[in-house]
Amino acid sequence: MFEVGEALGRLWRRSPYLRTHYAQELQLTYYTNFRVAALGLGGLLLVGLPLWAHGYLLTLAVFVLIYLIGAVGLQVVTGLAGQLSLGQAAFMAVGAFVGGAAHFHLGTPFPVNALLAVATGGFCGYVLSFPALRFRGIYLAVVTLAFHFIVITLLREYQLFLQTRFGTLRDIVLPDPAFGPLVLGSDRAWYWFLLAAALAVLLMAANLVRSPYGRAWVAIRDHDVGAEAVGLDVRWYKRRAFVVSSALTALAGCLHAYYTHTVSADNYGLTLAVMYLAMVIVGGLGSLRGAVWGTLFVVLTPELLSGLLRGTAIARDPEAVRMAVFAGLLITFLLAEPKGLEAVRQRVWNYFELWPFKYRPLEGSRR
Amino acid sequence: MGEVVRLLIDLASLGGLYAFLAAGYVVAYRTSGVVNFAYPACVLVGAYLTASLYELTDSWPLALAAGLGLGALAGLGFYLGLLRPLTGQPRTSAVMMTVGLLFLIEALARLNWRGATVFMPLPGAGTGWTVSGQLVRAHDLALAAAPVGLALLLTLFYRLTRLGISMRAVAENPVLAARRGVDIELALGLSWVVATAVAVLAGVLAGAKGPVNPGLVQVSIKAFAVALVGGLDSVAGLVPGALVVAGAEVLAVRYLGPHLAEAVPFAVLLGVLTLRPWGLCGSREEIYRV
Amino acid sequence: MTRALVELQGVEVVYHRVATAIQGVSLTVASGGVTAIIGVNGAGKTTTLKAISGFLGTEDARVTAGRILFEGREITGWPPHRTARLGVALVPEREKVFETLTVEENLRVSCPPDRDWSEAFDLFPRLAELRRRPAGYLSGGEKQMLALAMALLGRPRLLMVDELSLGLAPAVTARLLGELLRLRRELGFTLLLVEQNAAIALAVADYGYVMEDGRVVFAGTAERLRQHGDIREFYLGYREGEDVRSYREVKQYRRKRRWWS
Repeated sequence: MFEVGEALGRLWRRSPYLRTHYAQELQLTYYTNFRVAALGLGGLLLVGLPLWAHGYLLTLAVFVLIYLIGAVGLQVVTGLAGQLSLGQAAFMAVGAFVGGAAHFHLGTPFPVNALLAVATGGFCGYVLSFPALRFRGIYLAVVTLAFHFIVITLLREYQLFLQTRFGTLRDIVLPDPAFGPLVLGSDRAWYWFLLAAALAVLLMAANLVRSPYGRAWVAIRDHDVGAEAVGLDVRWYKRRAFVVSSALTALAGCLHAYYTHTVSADNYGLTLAVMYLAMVIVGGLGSLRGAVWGTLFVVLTPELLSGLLRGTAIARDPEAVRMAVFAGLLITFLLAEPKGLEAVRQRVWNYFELWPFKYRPLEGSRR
Repeated sequence: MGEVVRLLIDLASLGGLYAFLAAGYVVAYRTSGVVNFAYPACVLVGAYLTASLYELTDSWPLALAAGLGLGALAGLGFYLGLLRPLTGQPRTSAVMMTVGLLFLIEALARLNWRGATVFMPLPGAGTGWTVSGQLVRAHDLALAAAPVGLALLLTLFYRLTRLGISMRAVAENPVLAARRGVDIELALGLSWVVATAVAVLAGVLAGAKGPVNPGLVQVSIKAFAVALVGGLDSVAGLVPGALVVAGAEVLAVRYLGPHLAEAVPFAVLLGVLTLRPWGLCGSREEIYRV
Repeated sequence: MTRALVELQGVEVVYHRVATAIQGVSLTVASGGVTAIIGVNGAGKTTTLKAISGFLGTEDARVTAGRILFEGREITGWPPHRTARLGVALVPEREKVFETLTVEENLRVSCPPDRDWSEAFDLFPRLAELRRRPAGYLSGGEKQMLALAMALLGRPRLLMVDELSLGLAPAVTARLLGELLRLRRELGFTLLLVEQNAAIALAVADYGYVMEDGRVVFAGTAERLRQHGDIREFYLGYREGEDVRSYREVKQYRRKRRWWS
C-alpha cells in the first residue's frame, strides 16, 4: 500500500531536479504536470492558429516560421559554435536560386528542388569554411561579408543572364509546391507544413546541442585554442557548423522563394543578414528558444510598429520606418539586456517556478 | 594610349576615394578598437548634410565647417549615449551597436533626403585638362592627393604626439591606460569625434567623384574591404590597399562589366586575407588580438 | 611605528554580487617602508590591491563593508583617476605594458605632461637600448622593468606591485628587486609588494601580512614572520628534522592549528 502511494506521489509531484532513473537524464526536457499541460495547450493554439488568424497575420506567421529555420541555422554557427557569420542572406539566396533554377531548367517537383537547395547550401557552407577557418571574431565576420557580396553579385549576374537569354520579363516565377497530390496553395496549408518543418528543425537542433557536436561547438566557442589543446578537431567541427547552418538557411531560402513565388537577388541584401543576427542576439545567443523569441520579436515588432504609424507622415517610406524600428530594437537590447529575451524569460520563469525560494539551482542540474 | 591614360585616371580617382573612405575605418579601429559599421551611413549623411548646408549658406567654408562641427557633435553623442554604456562588455557588442547605428542613420537619411541624388557643388568644378585625349578634372587630382595628405597627417599624429600615442594605448588596453593616468573618456570620445569628422570629409570628397546618392553606402562598404586589404590597424596601408583594390575594380569594369565588378573588391579581400590575414601593411599580432 | 600611509579597516569585497573575495581585511601600510602581502593563489591579494587603487568597478566588484584610508582620508570606492591623482600606482600582474607600442611610446603615455619621460632611462638604463622595440617583444624581465618605469614616471607616493616575480628567473627577480629598493630609497615612495614567492618578499619587507581565503590570518614584522614555525613550513618550505610529513597529514595539521596568536 505504501509503495503504491509513494509511486502515485512520485507521479503527481514530479520534480525537475530530482532524478531517479537514468532515462530521466537522457530526456530532452523534463516533464512536470504543469509543463505537459502548458505544452499541450500551446500546441493546440499553434496548430489552431489559422482558424482565427487571417490574412496579414497568417502571412506574418508564415514568414516567422520561414525565418525561424534560418535563425536556427545562424544560432548553430554563431550562438553555439561562436563563428560570427554575416552570410545568412547569401545562403538564403543560394537556396532560393537553386530551387528556382532547378524548377526552371529541370522541371523537377518541389521536394527534389528543396533537397537540391539544401545540398547546394551545405556545399556553399563547406566552401566558405575554407577561408573562414583561418579567422576569428570580426575578421571572420568580414570574410562572411565578402562572401555575401560575391555570391549575391554572381547570382544577380545569373538573373540578368536568364532575363537576356530567355527573355523573362520578370524573374523566375515559381508555382505552388506540390507533394504529389498535396498542394500548398493557401496560407493555411503553408502554415501547417512550415509548423511541422520548423518543429522538425528545432528538434534536430536540440539533439545536435546535446550530442558530441554540440559540446564540441560550445567548447570551441568558449576557447578554441583550449579546445584544440584538449584534442578536439576544431577545424572539422567548425566546418560542420558552417555546413549545417548553411544547409538550414538554404532550405529557408528555398521555402521563401516558393512562398513568395519569385526568385530575385534583390530580396536578399545585407539588411537581411543583419536582421538574422539581430534575431539571435535579441533572442539570446546560444539558445534555441532564444532563436524562436528573437525571430518572433524581430519579424513582428517592426510590422506592428509601422502599422501603428500608418497614416502619419513618416509612413510614406515604410522601409525606412522598418529599418529605424529594427535598429532601435537592436540598440535597446544591446544596452538593456545583452543576453537577450531568453535571459529575461528565464528570470521570470525562475521567479515563478521557484517561489517562494529565491535561488536558482546550479547550472547543469536542470535543462 | 588614351585607354591607358583613362584607366590611370580612373584608378587615381577611385583609389583616392577608397583610400580616404578607408581612413575612417582605420582611424576608428586604431583608437577605439571597434570596427565602426555605421561609417557608410555617416558618410552618406555627411555628404547630404554638407550639400544642404551649402544650399542654406551659399558659402563653402561655412558649410564645410558647419558640417564638420555637426558631425563631430554627432560622434560625441554616439560615444556618450551608445558606446560608453557598453564598457566592460566584449568588443562584439560594441560592433553590433555600430551595426544598429548604421541602420538608424540610414533610415534617417532615407526619411530626410528620400534617396535624392545631390550634386556637390565643390569649388573647382569644371576645371580640367586634356591628356592624350582624356579629360583629367581638377577633382580627380584632388581625389588622388587628399588621402596621401590625410595619411601623412594621421601618421604624424599617431606616432609623434602624446595624444595620438595615448589614443593607441587606450585602444589596446583601456584599464592599463587608466592606471597610467590617461584620460580614457577623452581619448575614446575624441576617437569617435575624429571618426565622424573624417566621415563628413569623405562624403564631401565623394561628391568630387560623382553625384551623391544612396549608392555611396555601397561604395563605403567596398572601402571597408580596402581598409582590410591595407591592414585594419595601418595608416600606411591605406594607399597601397586602395591602389590594389581600385586597380582590380577598374580593370574588371573594363573587361567584365560594371555588375560583376561590384564583387571584385571583396574577391580581392578574400584573396589577400587568405594569403596575408593581417592585410598588406597591418601588424601580425592584430589577428590574434581579435 | 611610523605614520600609516594606507589603512584598511575590515574591508569586504564582493564580485558579481555573489562571490566574496576578501572579508574583514584590516592592514596598515607604513609610510616610507616596504610592506609585503603573501599568500597562495586565490587568497585575495590582488583584490586587496584593486580595492585600494579603485579598479573594482571594471570587474563588477564592490567594497561592501569596511573603509580604506589614505593618509587618514577615506578613499573607499573612489574611482581610479582620483586615486591616481593621490599618487597611488599599481603595476598589475598581467598585461602590464602596451604590447603594440614601442618602449619609448609606452613611457610617453605614462609620463605626466610636466615631466620628462626620458627620466625612465636614468632609472633603468637597460631600457634606453630597447627604446624602439615594440613592448610585446621584450623578455619577461624587460617587460617588468618597463612596467615599473612606467609606474615610477608619475612619481607615485605608493607603488603597489602585483607578483613582481611572476614568470621571471630568480636571478632576474633578485636584480629587479634590488633596483626597486634602491629607487625607493632615492625617490622615497612606499612600496607594497604582493607576492607568492614568500621568501624574497620577506627578505626585503619591513612588515608582512599573510592572507588565506580572503582573510588576513597573520601579521607581523618580517623578522617575526620569518621565524614563525607555520610560516616557515608552509610558505618558506622549511622542514623540521627528518620527518617529512605526507600531504594528507599536512592538511589535517593546518585545519587543527589556529594562526592567530
